[in-house]
Amino acid sequence: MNEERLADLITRSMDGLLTPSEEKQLRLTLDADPERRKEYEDLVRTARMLGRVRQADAPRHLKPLIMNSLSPNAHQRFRFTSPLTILKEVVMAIKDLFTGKRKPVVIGAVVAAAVAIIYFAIGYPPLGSDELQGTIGGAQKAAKYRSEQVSKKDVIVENAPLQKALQNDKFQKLIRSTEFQNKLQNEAVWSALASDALREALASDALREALRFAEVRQALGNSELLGAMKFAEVREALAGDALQAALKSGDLQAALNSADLQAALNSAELRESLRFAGLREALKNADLREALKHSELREALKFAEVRQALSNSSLREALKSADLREALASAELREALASADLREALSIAELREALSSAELREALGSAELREALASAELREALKNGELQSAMKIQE
Amino acid sequence: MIELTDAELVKQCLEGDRAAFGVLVDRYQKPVFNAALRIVGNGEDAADITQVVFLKAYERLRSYKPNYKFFSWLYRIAVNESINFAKARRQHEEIDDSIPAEDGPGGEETPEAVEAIVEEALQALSLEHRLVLILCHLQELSYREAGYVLDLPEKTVKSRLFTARKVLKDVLIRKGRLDERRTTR
Repeated sequence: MNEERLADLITRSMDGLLTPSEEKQLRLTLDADPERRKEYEDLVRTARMLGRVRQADAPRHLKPLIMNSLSPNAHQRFRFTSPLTILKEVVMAIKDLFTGKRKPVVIGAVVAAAVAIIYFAIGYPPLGSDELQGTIGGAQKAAKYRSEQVSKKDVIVENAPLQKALQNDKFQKLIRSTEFQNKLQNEAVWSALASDALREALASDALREALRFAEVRQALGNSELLGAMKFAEVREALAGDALQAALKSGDLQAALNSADLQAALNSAELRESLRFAGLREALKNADLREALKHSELREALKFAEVRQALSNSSLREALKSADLREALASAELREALASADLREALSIAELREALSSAELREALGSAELREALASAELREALKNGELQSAMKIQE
Repeated sequence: MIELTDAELVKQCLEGDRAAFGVLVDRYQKPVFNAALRIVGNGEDAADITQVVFLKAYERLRSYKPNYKFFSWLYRIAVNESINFAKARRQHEEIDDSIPAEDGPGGEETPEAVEAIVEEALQALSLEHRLVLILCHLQELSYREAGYVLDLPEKTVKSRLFTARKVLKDVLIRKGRLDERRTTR
């Protein structure tokens, strides 16, 4: 048997593709030549070792990264800059910077992404770090250069503050830290970074100002809130002047760390309502944030009467009642909420329960009734089982 | 629920259904990632390559002809991307003798240790030998499919596979890495 034929038989033998007659032919050949047999056995061992190599799992962030980078018109024309590519550019630029291979210059999306990564990953730089303020300035200045694709041929601009920032010891230590690398595995960070709009939001003075607060940075490390950042309303709300002012309040900073609020931000109704200062103010209240997990309330937020009424502590407390939240679908009740008497009266459990009666909600349209509710006697009477029954019978 | 074929999913993608592409990503991100990982020998780079592979596949979906399986077409993109990457990084093109020799007989090897040995030996091979081993052995492509991916005649794939196995065997023997306790499952 010639060498070529033997090699073919050995190869197909190892892949389990020999016919019985070929197997016999190979066995006879090897039996007649101990040296070849030894080599064959070594090859089989090699193949077994290869067979012990397991398939590694693809990183969890990969799929969202891919899906977020798909362009709607990609079948016609392909242009993309993936966050990973941007990061690679950033890291390479930084490495080159430290090794002196490249001038300390980065532009556009690269700078914005670097800033985003740093902020979202670990909330860096710390408050008052003057040396790194240049990074922010770099991102802002770079906005005008921002394009869909970053390539080697992109214009590179000198940026002294950025250069200084990148050469900062803390920054150098940061990018080499395990913590930073681990944070980069956060799927939500990558999803958020895939959004050009988010990177633009980071150019906003207000948002960056808000990021000075540890609570806000901590909140932005939460995947739900980061996920909600894909919605323009949320980014705008976070970047808005009113929210910026509100964010100076410890209550609201803490509120952003509320799981209830983060989850509720996935609701279109809430996000749209965030433009109202009254609501943002009201969000400082834990009872309200908790109540926001109920869709009835989120839907009711589109009504100005409800949002305004939310400034009332009695009403917010009363929102723990499912009856009241469901009743908010009633136009009569919402209008009636303008009455301070009614809002106060809603602290009575029996009244909230009675709101399941359509007749009662309709009756609340009457100013006389609402005023009557201010009467301690009537409120006391509402606790009477017979009266409650009577109202339910009417329904 | 009925599982759609790759061809059906491709058709849906071309009709504008991005979710269908998500199913293809779910189906093939792991093998593509692994192929890239074995070629470039680095998880981060492999993830980057995998991302680019899928994005390019999405872009070129109209050029996909169902004469070959979808994953073979995907592998072709993956291998080209990985080769370009490896060449750009000037990775090992010749057998690398830098693998340290074994310290001597030890106790029971863990699966991770055996994997590390094989991985190290694979990286010591030339790119063309590594590729054929990855596709035919680790990814279990047929000779024909590997030929399509590598743009080689089936016969060449077989002969190259034989040589690649021999070279890998020699590397493992030379470094004292090939013995019974590592080759039994």
